[in-house]
Amino acid sequence: MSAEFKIAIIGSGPGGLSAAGHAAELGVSHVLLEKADHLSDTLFKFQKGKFVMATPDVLPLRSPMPFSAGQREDILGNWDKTAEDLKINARLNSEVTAVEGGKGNFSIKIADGSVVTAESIVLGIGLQGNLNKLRIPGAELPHIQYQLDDPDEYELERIIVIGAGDAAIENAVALSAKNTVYILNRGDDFSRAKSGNESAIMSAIDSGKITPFYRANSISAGEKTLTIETPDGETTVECDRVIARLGASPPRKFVEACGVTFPSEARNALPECSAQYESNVPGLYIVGALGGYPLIKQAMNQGYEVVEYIVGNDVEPADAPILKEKLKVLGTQDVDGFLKQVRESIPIFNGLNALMLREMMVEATVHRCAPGDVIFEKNDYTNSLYTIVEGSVAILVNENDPNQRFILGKGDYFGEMGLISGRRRTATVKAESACVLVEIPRRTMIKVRGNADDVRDAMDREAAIRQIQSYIAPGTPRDQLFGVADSAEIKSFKMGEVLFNEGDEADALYLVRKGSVSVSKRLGGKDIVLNYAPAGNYVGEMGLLSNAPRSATVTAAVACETIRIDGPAFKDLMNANPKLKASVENKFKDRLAQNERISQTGNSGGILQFLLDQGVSEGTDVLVIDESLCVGCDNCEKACAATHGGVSRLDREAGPTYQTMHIPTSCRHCENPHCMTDCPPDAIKRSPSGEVYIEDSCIGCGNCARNCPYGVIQLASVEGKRSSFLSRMLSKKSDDKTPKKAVKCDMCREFEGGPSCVRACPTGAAVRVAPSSLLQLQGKGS
Amino acid sequence: MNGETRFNESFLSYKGFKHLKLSLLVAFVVLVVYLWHDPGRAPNGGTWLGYTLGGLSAALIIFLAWFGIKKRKFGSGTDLLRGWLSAHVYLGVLVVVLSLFHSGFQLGLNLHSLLWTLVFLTVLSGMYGVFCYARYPSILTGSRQGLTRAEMLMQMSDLDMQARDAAIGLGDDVNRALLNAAENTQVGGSISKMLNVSPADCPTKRALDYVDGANVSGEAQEAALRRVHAILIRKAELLRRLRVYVRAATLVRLWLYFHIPLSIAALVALAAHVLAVFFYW
Repeated sequence: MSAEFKIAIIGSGPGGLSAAGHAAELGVSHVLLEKADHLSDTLFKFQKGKFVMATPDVLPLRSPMPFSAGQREDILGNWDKTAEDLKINARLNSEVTAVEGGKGNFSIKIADGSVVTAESIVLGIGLQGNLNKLRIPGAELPHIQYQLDDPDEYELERIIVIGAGDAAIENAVALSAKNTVYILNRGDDFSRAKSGNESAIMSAIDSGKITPFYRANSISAGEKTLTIETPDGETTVECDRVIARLGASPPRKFVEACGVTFPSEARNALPECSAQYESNVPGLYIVGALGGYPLIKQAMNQGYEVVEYIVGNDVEPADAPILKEKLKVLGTQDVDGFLKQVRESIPIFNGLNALMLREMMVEATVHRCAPGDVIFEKNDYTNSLYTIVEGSVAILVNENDPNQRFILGKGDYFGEMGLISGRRRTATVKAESACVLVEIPRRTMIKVRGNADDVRDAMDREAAIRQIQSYIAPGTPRDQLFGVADSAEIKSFKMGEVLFNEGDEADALYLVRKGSVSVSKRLGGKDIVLNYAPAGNYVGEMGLLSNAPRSATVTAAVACETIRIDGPAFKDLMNANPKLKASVENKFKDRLAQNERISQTGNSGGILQFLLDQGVSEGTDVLVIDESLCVGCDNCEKACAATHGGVSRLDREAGPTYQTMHIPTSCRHCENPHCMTDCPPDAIKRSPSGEVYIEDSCIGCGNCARNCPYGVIQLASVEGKRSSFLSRMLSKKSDDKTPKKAVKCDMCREFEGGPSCVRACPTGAAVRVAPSSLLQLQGKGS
Repeated sequence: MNGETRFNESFLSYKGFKHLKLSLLVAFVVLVVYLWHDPGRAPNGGTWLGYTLGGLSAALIIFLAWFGIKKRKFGSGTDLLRGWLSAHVYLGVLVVVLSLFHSGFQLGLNLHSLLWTLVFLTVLSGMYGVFCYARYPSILTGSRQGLTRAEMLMQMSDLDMQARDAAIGLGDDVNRALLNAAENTQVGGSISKMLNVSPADCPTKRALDYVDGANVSGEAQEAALRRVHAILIRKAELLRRLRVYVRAATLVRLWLYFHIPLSIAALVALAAHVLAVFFYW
């Protein structure tokens, strides 16, 4: 007896649906079995209106089913329509209870008693069909639920959300608009969640919208109550509803009954499959989250590929065309060969596994340069890392003297200083000979550094040598610096954390490589800020040179990273190098004079403190209003709105003021932009001239607005081009809402004349300045 | 951009008083030419110098009026509006001088003198505007003390609520006065109200006076009354600051309500003047 279908697909999630679609497209006989009465139940159960991401962005979609980032409703609608158009043979309300038989003739038992036979099975049941439930007395009561479709359905209820993951946070925050919401967290924080969600829940808690219980567990549920164990004892909370978001685990019992084995006993263990997604049961394939690929796009691509494998075709990975395109400049198509060459020729990448290297390369750019080509210019704000696969480059250390340069060869990398500090490029780099370079964008490199310790450590040591060489000891031969570099240690400080206190023993020198620090002294019972040192400067030489305790306290003005250089090692270096000693001594004298001036006049210390408190030191370009000139005409805001689709990106009146210096709420284009930390579509960019701007690919998730400590990003519907006065008067106001997107100052980068706010100020009150010049201006005292 | 704008550079001192110097130079040259020139009869607008000065003045008046449009043209060009305002101010004063020389100091009761008078008044109101721009910014800043207007209003309504909470145990009369203060205190409104920093009939002031003079018995009541009093004093001070702000914000733009209509009248008179001169050639 031969099987009814060539392929039976169990589960109509992204993977299963995509497989069914491709089978239908190819005309392969198939059946799609779905437990629910609609397709794609997991997505169906997403919160209403939820924005669904399509990561990884660069990965092309390979499926007959359409999919791009968008609202849950649109995606489901498109899938239903395409399933119909392709004539997918779907059987809804068909829960599979057992799978028997083997390759060529599986028989699949359905809950209604019928049996389906197929030659191969694609298992795409995901994890969400098997939600983790509360295991407490009363867990079966009707006020306890494990999902939330539409937060707007509930009003004026008391709701307890259990969990600390993304789903729990999203539910709690959405519900808090109209209900009294408690969140029950087993741990102390929400660090497990995406950082956007973490800041959303923290701000909801801070503003009192949500009440948290930390280190708390539910013990039992009663009629409209939940009893909780907290560090302060047991408490019973009255509530109308409990929403427990405890994650999901593989439906192990069912999968094991099909004959599939699991590698471990862990609750979240996943079955192992071949590169063709085939499980240990021949003919039974597993795609999607159950196979370890939780992203929608990955699952859809697998659905397509698995059908290709079953019908006997070999398909290359979905990212191969992208990589081939990148290699075009080299005139080769051999992706694997090139990847091998990259890994073998560039030592810092030795520690990456094949998959990581491949993912990194998808985001990277391959350059082929002729001798003399400029790779980047000094003072550019670009922040990617370059590695040399072939050839060599010259770093022009002194812009006035083209003969002063370092040569870097095959296997070396450069550009890491801008990547680490977020500051301008410190030197121009040109191709020395014909060379092949791989340029890796900032975000990718940060990810790689985060995942591969070897890469990070190797880079940090090399970076320390180079930073000491360029910021402290220019002209000192590399080999003389090894001793100092070996004693050096990368130390990070949070904002406000003290590097060392006045009176401490002076045991080390700190080179600030990211962020900035303030130098203050206690005078007359008050802390007076004497100075500030941005990235690229060192502090702590005064105590070292004078063999005295620290003369001032140094505090991190913003989150910063320093290279701590051991005192004795540094003294050895100075003694071996008279030129260096002289330059450090000069700095020492300058600082002594400046500190004395400020501590005796005292007046500019206050404004310096103010500027540092406002985080101005981490900006690269800040809007300042001289309140002795501002007449409050708001022409700056009008100009901003007029040049940016009707929405002003600055709020003149808001923001702190010190004496006559007012810092309105407006972007300062930070060195290490907080807004960039968690942008799902990577839409926030920095242009070579320094402006941080948001591209059209923004999805309006609001992460950047939450992450910005200065409140300068807002979500707004932006009109397109401003229409003329006449046409606005004559046409009816259009009602169609453009979706909200994040908007912020882009320094009018598209306008030749620079920032409109500054240009439109009639009195000269509004200026945009580099904070370093402002701070130094104040620091000099007047 | 950073090189071009400097902190603390006002439109008056823009680029080292460039436009002031230009105006003074032109005025000086015109004076010398005027004294040198002998038309053979009384100096007037009909000589070659008269026509030259008239044409120059007319061009300047149009340039000055263009500022109103330039101010609203955002995003085009690369120039700074402060530069334009600087030129507007100094060249505006120059126009009065030039047009006076243009007329040969012949003023009388006619259309031509009306034009000069309108130009003069426009410039005069503008000079008052310059005075306002120098005087009021510090008052605007000083009165807000780092708060926005909305924040000041919110603080006041907070204080109203606190006062009424504190007054729960006190008599109806006190509560009526507080309710009246909370509901009927007004900031701004008509021009005269916007300019009045301490209106006599302010409900908050009346409530404060009332509480000040109220008699209650018992320690608890006295304490409550003192709390209410303290809260009202804070509110009154906040209110005073807000009114000072509103007054300064009003004055800093009130002159424009004279300056702009006058300038439009001057433009109309200029058109009539030019037409008349050429009609009666």
